[in-house]
Amino acid sequence: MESPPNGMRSDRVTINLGPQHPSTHGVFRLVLTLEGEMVVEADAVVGYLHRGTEKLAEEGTYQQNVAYTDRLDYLSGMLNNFAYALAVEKVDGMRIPERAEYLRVITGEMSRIASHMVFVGTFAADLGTYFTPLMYTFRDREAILDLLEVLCGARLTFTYHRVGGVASDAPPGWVDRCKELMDRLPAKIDEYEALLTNNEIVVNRTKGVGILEPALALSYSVTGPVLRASGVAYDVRRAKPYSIYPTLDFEIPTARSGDCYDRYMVRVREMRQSVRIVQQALERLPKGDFAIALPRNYRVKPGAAYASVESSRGELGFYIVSDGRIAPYRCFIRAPSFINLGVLRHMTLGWKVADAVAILGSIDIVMGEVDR
Amino acid sequence: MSWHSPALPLNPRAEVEPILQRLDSALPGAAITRVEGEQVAVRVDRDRLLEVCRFLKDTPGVECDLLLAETAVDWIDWFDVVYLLRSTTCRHDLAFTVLVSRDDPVVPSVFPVWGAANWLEREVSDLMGIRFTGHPDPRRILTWDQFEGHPLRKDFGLGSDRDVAYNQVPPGYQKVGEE
Repeated sequence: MESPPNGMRSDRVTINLGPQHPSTHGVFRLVLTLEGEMVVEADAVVGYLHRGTEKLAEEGTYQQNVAYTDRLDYLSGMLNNFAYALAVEKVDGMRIPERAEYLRVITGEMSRIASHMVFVGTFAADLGTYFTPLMYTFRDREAILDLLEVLCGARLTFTYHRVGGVASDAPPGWVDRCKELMDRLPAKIDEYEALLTNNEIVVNRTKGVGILEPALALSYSVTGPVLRASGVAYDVRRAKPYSIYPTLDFEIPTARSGDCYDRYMVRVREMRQSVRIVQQALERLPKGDFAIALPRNYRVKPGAAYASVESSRGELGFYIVSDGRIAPYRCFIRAPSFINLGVLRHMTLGWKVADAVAILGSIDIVMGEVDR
Repeated sequence: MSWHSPALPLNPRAEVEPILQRLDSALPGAAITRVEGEQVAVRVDRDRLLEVCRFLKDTPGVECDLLLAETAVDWIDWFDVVYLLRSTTCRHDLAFTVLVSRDDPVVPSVFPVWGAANWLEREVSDLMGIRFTGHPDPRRILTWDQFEGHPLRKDFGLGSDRDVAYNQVPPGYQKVGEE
């Protein structure tokens, strides 16, 4: 090894970032080879939280498996339920009541806002703010979770979207409370922005850091806010519209440079769009049934189908194969966090250790979904 | 032996027919198409998989730039390796399968075409035991290196005989305090 002129030796050092490390958002290990502070090799090790969800799904009935999906991306459980229910209904060619579609979109978008709030808070914590922004975002996330709890009794593991509709109708007064919260939220998002968006330290730590080129992002099938921050306006809600999204008016926020700052900005702007979506859906919420009645051991027609939703982390899809029995023959989960993580090595090479933490935080992974 | 899979991923005919026609004229005989009314199931010949994938990605007007998913289904006697493609520019999907026998579960890696295949194929080979020739990093990904078997195969039961004993030290690891 060549010695720098001041006589200090600089050896290559290999360190483990994780699996037990607060900035890895769960149990994730990043094996970094460093020269000084510079990352020269990065190897992502996943699987610590592997529970075999796909295998378990082959043993459970279609309705039982909804509960497993909550445990994938536990920060936006509603959207997991949504994707699974869509896939089963697609195999079976089922139509669900319109009110159920609206309730799904309302709760799904509320889940997305809650999940992005966690992102804003934890990303800032990764950058070293030590929890002030996290307190602000969790204060408002609580308000959303309270409403979802009123609806289905759970705060994270909802199991609210079921095959054939949703689990229960909105109780009296819920819609008004929801409207009132949505009117309040934009001002709250302004507060986060006042704390972070032009904060000199945040800008210095994130602008120009961890740039992801659009061509590389597409080659690695990166989706969600990470892809949109690189300038590709790909959103499943527009590219392959599902449910009632074609009737709703909303924008797909994108950014150009693909750095950590853009990934933060895209998510903040997405929260505002989600508020708009929820407001529109609440305004138009039709009356009627919230689900179609299905037998407990409901059988799905033989066939195979892939259906996906835009989850808070990217395209979340389920590929379900049915052989006509009461359980899926095969249930493959396209987990956006897992696939987005595949490009992490390319994003961290050449950056400093502290930047690697910022880059990992900006991808916004949930290990429950990565490891399944 | 019948290779008739009970369930294959289906494509809307109107969406994929133009792509399949172009594929057939550029690479005759590479794709086997099964007709099912308004829906089409596509099977691609294993030996010509890479050619077909390059064609689907690079041909203007086809441009399947996203490898959405790569997975496999165990049909006891054979596997269907499933590829789900999407074009972000042309707004179409294409799903196809490659059939491999259980005795020789080998498929060429599509990593040269889509980077995303790196982790997706590691997952398929880990959980389903399909080998990908030319894969740059063929390690297990979700289970650990000493793990035996492939959990998503149908002969890998959830029963007690294959249960993992978590208190056992896997071979190759030292217990704490042992030198």
